[in-house]
Amino acid sequence: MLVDKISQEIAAGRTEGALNTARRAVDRYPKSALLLQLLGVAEFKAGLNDAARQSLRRAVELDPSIPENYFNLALVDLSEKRYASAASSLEAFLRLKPHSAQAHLLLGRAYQNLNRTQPAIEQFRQAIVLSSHLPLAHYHLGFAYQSQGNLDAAFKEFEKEIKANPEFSDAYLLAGNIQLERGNTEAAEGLFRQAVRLKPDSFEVHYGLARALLARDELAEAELELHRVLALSPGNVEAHYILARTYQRMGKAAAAAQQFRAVAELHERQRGEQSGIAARH
Amino acid sequence: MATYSSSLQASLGSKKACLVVLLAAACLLLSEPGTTSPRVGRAASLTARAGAQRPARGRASVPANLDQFIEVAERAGIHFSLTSGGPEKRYIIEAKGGGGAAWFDYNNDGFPDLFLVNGSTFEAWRQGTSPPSHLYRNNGDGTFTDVSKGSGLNHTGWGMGVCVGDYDNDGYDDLYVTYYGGNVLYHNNGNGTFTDVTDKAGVRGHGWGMGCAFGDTDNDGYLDLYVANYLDVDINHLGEPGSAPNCTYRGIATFCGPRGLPGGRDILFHNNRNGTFTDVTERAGIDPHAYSGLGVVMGDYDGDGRLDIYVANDSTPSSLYHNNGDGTFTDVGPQAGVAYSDEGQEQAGMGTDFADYDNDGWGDLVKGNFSDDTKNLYHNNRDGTFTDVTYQAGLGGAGWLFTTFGAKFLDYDNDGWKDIFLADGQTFPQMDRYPTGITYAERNLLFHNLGTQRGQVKFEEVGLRSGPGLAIKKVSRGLAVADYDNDGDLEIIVTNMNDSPDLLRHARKNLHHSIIIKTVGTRSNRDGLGAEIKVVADSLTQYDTVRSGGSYLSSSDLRLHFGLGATARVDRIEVHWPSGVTDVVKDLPADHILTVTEGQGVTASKAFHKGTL
Repeated sequence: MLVDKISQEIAAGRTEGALNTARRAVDRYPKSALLLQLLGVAEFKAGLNDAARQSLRRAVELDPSIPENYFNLALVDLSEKRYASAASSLEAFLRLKPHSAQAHLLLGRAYQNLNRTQPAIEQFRQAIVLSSHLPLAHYHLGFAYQSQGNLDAAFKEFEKEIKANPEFSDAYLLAGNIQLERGNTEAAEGLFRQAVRLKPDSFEVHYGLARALLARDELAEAELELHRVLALSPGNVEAHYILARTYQRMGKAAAAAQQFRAVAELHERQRGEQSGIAARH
Repeated sequence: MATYSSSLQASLGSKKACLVVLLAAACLLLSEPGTTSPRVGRAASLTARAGAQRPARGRASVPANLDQFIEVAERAGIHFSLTSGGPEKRYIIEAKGGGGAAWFDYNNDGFPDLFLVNGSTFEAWRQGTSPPSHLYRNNGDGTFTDVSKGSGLNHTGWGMGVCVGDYDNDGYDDLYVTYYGGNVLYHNNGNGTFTDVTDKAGVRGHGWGMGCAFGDTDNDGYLDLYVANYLDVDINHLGEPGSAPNCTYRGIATFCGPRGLPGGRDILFHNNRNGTFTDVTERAGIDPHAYSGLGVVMGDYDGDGRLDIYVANDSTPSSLYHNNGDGTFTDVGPQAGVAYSDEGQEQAGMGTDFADYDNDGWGDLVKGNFSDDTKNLYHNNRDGTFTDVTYQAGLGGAGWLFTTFGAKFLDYDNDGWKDIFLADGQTFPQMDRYPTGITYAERNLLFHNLGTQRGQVKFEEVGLRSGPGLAIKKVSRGLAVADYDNDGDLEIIVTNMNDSPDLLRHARKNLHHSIIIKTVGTRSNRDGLGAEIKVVADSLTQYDTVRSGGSYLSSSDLRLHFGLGATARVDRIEVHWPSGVTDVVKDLPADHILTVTEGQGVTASKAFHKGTL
């Protein structure tokens, strides 16, 4: 069957083959919503987002009752940060399939990016009600809480994410930040070390670890971590600043001054790039 | 075709497979962080050493919410509405400008009077019909009378801020009012009238004046003047909302700036001791990068006997000008740790204050910033540096969504520990169209100082438990405090954009004692600005500095207020004058307003009014 063949090719990562087969199938059966759906999926996998969006919209026109087409449309839009249209598609999907935890989660993400934080929180909560172990649901709910300044609630969600999804480094990172803020420096260091283990090439996790080490007066090790940050993220103003403060505490005035100069220059450069762009000419 | 379609619809397995394929994509998409990056949890770190140094002290155990505030402006006779542009705030001057408030006793009757600066609209400003500022005389019975007419406080324009100081040492406090397009110095004639002496004194300044502060920076007995300038722009030529990347916030079209617009260079005027001033900005090394200045406060942060200057700059590093003692200053903000956030980011500094919140004898700093950012509480490490303890002290999460303009240390409950009041209000009315949790009008925040806990002072936000006056939601800007009814507790004036001000006074208060000290300099400047006062009462020792300006574009009563908790006597008061003279007085009853004259000790003492007026 054509449908099975296309699906298998997609699942096997043979995108080009899936695309060719789907195109031929749609040419032959242009009124088939399901084939258009598969074509849209193949096009999306091939990075042909405009074509995918067009195929999926045609599929919706042909059969508005297939929920997956709305979902897929939303994914295409989300991949391009078209949050308003993604939200609209997900809302349509949820009218047809209101118990999809994944769709609630994605809708929450879309809302969050549309400055609709409160509705986003509601969607994340709903996703968790429907599937308490849904990957990333607690993380995003925690993230939303954190953006509201509600750190206690955020931390609880990051803890749940770590439990449900122990290989996801970002949850350790954000939980570590909160522990650091609370003054629980040992716990923070532990969380950051987990994040470093999972994502050693991320400058953010090394930065978090450096800050935890500083808070624990482990200045030499903190300095090393900050140099790792700068190796991974040259021109990172935060790392330069924290390094300057570290050198101050180590009594290395000249090195501190050099780092402060770097901070000032980076900010100055940024201001220079923005200079005059808000004025009317 | 019909047959094939039927088989497709029946092929549920395939449809499920398809959905699984895309769910993998969904997971990838979900792993990206949101556009609104929560940085709340990223603060905190370099603080352990500072906290460990502080002595633990006892404190009275009174519930934090016993003190209740009500709003009484209209009832007290303050009929004022701050004009500041239109409701949409399409241009930055409409949103940032105006709101200055000053408590000062212009007629020396012992009761602080109130001056409120008015702004303007584009139409009125262009036509020369901007509304006037207002002076309200304190009647001494809890009410005020508008005495603006005939006072000589006639200048109109797009008014911003105000500061108070007796620049000619004649015993009457004078006023400096900042404007967009040239500031004004009013000399207090001592008879209820003022004279505009700006040009004679040479302090017109230039550009867009904002915060200001008087202080004797060279300890010659005469007050110098610092003026923060904001932006160097022609307000007739500002970009339209959304017209450039820096004309948006969270992707929402808003007014342009301050990023992308040139900053204005601040000004330091040196007092020539003859009624005139000299602009010494260049020589003194002030603001060479022309950062966007807003709030200004003076204080001797390093204990070298000379007044330093802290300027809260908007979207540029804030500046701490160390007084070198030779007429020059060095901006040590970055090295001192008060230029940036604790992670080195420039912040939208607004209002600021300098006072010793942890009673360790060293002045600390508080600074208001924009929403999606922390406010700053900088603890003085006593070694020329500060540590940002915002989170450790409990100010981090609670203030995250608020945009804070006015910022002031005050002991509202007289327990001997300085609390923090933050006057809040967004700049973008457009935020109300989005359920972000951020609103245009905001309530103000009151952080109660809980004293030291494990070597670290903690604050608790108690605004919503402190009476209806703290539940009001407006778009607040200016903030100044005074005990205007002389009953021993502090009242608060908050100005609000395109709205009436809030005059917050206690409707219910605790039984704590307090003392108020007015300084009169003889060798030092007449106001005693810069004098450092130490008050010892039982186990509690407190410190404060007489200062002008501060907060956001405002100036609080120059008299210093000290809560004493349950202690009804003061063991010792030391006044360290800028001249180097020290006055020490001992064993005094609480609940009095004391006048301490330089070299003479207490020269007047008056018991507080009984009860609240």
